[in-house]
Amino acid sequence: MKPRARPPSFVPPVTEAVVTIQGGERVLLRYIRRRLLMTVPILFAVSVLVFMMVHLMPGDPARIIAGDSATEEDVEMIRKEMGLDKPLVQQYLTYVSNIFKGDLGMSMRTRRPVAVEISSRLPNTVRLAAVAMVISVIFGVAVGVISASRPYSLSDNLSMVGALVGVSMPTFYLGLMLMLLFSVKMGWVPLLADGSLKGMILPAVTLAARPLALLARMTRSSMLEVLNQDYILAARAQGLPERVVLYSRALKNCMTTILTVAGLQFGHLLAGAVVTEQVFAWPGIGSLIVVSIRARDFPTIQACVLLIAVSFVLLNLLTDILYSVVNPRVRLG
Amino acid sequence: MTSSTAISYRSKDTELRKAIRRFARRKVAVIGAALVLVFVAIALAAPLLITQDPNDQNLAEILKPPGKEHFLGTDELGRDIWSRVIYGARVSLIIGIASVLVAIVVGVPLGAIAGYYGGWIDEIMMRVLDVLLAFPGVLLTIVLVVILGPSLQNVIISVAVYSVPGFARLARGEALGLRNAEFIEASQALGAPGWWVIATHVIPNIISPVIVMGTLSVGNNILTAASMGFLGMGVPPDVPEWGAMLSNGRKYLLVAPHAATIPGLAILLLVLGLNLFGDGLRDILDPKMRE
Repeated sequence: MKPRARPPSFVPPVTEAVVTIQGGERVLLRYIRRRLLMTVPILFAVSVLVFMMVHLMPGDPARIIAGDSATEEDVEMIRKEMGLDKPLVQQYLTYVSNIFKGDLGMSMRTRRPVAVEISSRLPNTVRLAAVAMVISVIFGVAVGVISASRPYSLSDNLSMVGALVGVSMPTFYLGLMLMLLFSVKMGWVPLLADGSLKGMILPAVTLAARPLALLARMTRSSMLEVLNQDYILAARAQGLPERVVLYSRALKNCMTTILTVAGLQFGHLLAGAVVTEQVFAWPGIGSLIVVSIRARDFPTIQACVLLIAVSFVLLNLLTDILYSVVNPRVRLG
Repeated sequence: MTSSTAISYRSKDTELRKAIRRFARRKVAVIGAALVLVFVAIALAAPLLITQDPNDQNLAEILKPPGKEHFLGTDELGRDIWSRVIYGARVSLIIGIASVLVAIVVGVPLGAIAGYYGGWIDEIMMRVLDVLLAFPGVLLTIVLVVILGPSLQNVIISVAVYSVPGFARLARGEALGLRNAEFIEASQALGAPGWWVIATHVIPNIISPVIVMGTLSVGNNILTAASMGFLGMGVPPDVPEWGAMLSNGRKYLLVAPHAATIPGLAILLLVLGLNLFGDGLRDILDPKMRE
């Protein structure tokens, strides 16, 4: 076969973006600034809510923190120690300024600083979530593209039913089934997290299942939409191989949607880790929350919830900013 | 805008029949609807289907595998798993449906008001929702159950709050699109007050997407509530809840795998049914999806 000259790549029309070509940078910066400003009140409200957790519970905060078996003196001591006798606003201000100093309070359970507890466990959760994210993006996008390339074929129908099962499957049930199959029956991987890479496979796959299924469904529908566009027809008319049409032309135009969904899902992975870590006894933030709730260790619960919520808000901010950089249309909104 | 629209105006019945036919053509959606119906029937007829009281303990008969005497075996306290799974359908469907109804009743009017009026009302409401959305997934439910305390009612409230933003955003978007529709303007021109327009024109016109989202949310909320049960933060221990049953059973995974796998399978089948049914509904109710 004679090598063919590569046809010039076709650039899809970007009429809406024309407006931003002049001074595009400025518009982008303005968008980022506005988006940052919007985040501040949310972070403020989140911190107030988390701070108020103990105060919103029916009863005396000092007694709730001290627990049922505490004596009257213990309760008084905690009230003094934690400043619960001071006005609420002052308590909140102390709480926030301590957080900025890196002081998240003392764990009632272990009598160690919460910041120490968290920093020893956070890397485990981040590692698990990152691996799960990589798995779900690679396989989710691949399944979505293959499905969209042959819509309503057997492989498409099977993948989409599979994706629906993935969305409907309780995380803890999937984890347990994988455990039963691969650890108990086959003995391929260790039953519980033991720090080895092998021990990470099942937790990561369990955590990845839901975002993988969502990404596959999203990628498929977004690809189908793009494949109906005129520039895809043009690319096909140019005689480009289907592989190039799919991956270079169509997928590239779906990437912004996929990245947004993936960014959102990463935040959800942090929350999903609560359940997954519980299944596999994975020593991360999620299992710390569960242990702390059982022990009614409120400083630790508050710190973990705040950490996950703030990371989630910041990840969303980052996703939005990245999205606006690659997709100029957003900035005008 | 040809003959098909003309026919559909002739009588409401044909439109409905056409919708049912469209739904029936999708085999997976019909399977989903059947699954949901089976679970609803089980939940309704629970007292007739059980073989013994779901909380009856028999310590001589613990962790028995499925067999003649106990259809699906027994759990770690010798309770009959079949009877507990049957009652579990009630618990899960009550949590799922009640939480979605609460979320719709609260979220849809809020979203419709925000979208219809726009301006600062819209701005404030959306920012409040953003705060709720800052707690991803099961985290918001955990926070609320910790504050409110574990009970069936509080689990329903917590899961409902978690799904309010979704409905509010959906209603807002739809209301925003309707704001300049001719029939809305006509109503305004006749001097109808805002709440009247919202109640009689905006909300009735956004019912279909709300129904679709509602069906899918029932499944999602059942999953969230089951996760709470699994984490030991859901309903009290004597209530036969699938997530909690699985959590108790998993300690005996090696000796009696049925104690954990059966409740899990029940959750999967019900949620899968709801999702298949919801997807089918979307295809017939959402005109954008029609090919």
